[in-house]
Amino acid sequence: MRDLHFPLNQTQRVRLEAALHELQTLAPAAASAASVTVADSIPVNQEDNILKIFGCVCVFRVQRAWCGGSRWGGGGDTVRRRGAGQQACLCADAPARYKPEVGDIIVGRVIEIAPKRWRLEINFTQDAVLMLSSMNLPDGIQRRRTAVDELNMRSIFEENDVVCAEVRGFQHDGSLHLQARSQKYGKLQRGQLLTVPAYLVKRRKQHFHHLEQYDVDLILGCNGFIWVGQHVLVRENTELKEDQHKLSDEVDTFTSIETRKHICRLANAVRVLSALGFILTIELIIQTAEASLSSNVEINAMLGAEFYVQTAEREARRRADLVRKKNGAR
Amino acid sequence: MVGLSEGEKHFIRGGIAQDLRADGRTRLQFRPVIVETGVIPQANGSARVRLGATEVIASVKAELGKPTVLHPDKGKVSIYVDCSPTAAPIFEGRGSEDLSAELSVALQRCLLGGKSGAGAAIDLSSLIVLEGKACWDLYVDGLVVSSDGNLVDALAAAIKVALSDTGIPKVNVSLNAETDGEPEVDVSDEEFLQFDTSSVPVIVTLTKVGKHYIVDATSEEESQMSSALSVSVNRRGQICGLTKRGGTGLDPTIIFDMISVAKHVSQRFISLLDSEIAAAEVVADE
Repeated sequence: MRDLHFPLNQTQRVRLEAALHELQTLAPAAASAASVTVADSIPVNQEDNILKIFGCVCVFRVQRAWCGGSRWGGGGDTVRRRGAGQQACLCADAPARYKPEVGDIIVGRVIEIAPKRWRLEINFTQDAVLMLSSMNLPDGIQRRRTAVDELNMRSIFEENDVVCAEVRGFQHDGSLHLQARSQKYGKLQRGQLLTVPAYLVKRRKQHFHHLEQYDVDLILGCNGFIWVGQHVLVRENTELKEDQHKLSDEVDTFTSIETRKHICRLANAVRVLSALGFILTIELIIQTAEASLSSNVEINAMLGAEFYVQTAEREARRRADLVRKKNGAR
Repeated sequence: MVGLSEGEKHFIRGGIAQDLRADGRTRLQFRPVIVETGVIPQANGSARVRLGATEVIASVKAELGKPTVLHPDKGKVSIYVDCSPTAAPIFEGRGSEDLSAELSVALQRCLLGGKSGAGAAIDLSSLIVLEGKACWDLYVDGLVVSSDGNLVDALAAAIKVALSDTGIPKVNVSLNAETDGEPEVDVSDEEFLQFDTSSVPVIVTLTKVGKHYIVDATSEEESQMSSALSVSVNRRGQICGLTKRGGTGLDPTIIFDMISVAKHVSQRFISLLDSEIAAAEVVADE
């Protein structure tokens, strides 16, 4: 994802710094430790065992790990800890590369059609492989793949197609094996693909989001590829042929202007949030898009300086309220 | 550049037809422009222009040279563009030759006028030091650092700003009366002549996709173009140059329509650039 570039005037710069500073002080409030020094005990939660501090990732082999806050750009303090027993720590720069796990939902782009498989680019060191046998056939019948099926692979996915799939496992050389057996996986059309750093997308229970109020599908791939597009009904197998006819007589089949406005707003919300380094959750994306709508910000003005600063301020306010509620509840 | 799937291309074409592009711009809106001057201190003038994710740098170097026999009263300007491999992997080694040549020719056509030197954007007579003997040669170099579409417009804007930032040193010429040979030229380190760039034109590229034209296309939108017309317009609304790219033929009425749209859009762009140049001058003075 390319960073946003725009000129910030003096007041905007001041406001932005104030908001980012507030976020910085709020982030460790949840763990009640603003900075960590050697021999400190770091409170942790169950979610994953990574600790992020100012752009560095510390991996602890402990039972609980704390994760939170945003990344403020490269460099920063590194904390090295060597404790007794099972605590071990490595520090490295927060990677933009994806760290895959089995069961992740990812979005990828087909770069090559090889014998009996497709190779997908997924923002990882190696290309992922989607076997023909891991893909539902157009006619829906479960059967052995024949040579004819192999010759017709192009009718399922072509080069440069955007595909949504699930990680099935790792191959012996470290590359990923994907599967797309369910109806909700498969080719993605009628929308746009956005790229954000992979660590901004956390693993949650749900990655497919059908936003009914907008008629938009939003898929947060764990590898940092985000798909925002027109909603497609869970595909019937026969639709594949209809699509090809539809795409040829175009003007009637363009996405409606209302849906397109929502798609563009959500896409711009994702761009602004990723430029700010905030973790992308569906609630945050929707909130940002709705805030832009309610404050009458034009869609392309969402990528401008004013909305960028306002989003940072809004997030600082939201986290401050959250902390206040937590403290109040105690 | 990453490839696009059929569905994404369809989405882009639909957006252009409905006047709502992928980032929310209308067809005739530019991306935010960021201008910096003086990025190369060793050059006489330099500028960096960012148009969204497209980033280009232009530098102007002035050297003393001899005017040509055909035009003893005019200086010389040469424009050359290079594409850095950081912009795209294909620009490594000789991969960027075609694109660089195309960009250089487009800019030369718009800024340097005809073969006789007529109609040039820069007043070449102002570059003369001693008629027939010494003149300033301006070497304008453009570098494409990052490419996301619309390189011609960004380069032309960068050259305009770089020229406004250019200072030509004042020279004192002492003629050696004995030999009719080389005069002694004393280049001053202190005083500089600034260029008047109010008559330097900008280039607006209109990319035709389907039935509509868009301004400031990203590289994804350019992949869908049928043809593109780059129109160079100066502040008075006069056309200084015209370049058409793309293999699809265009009806003459469409060309006239595109030219009038480009004129209309360019006035906004020129006033934007002029205000950026003025702001940069204020910063430089501080």
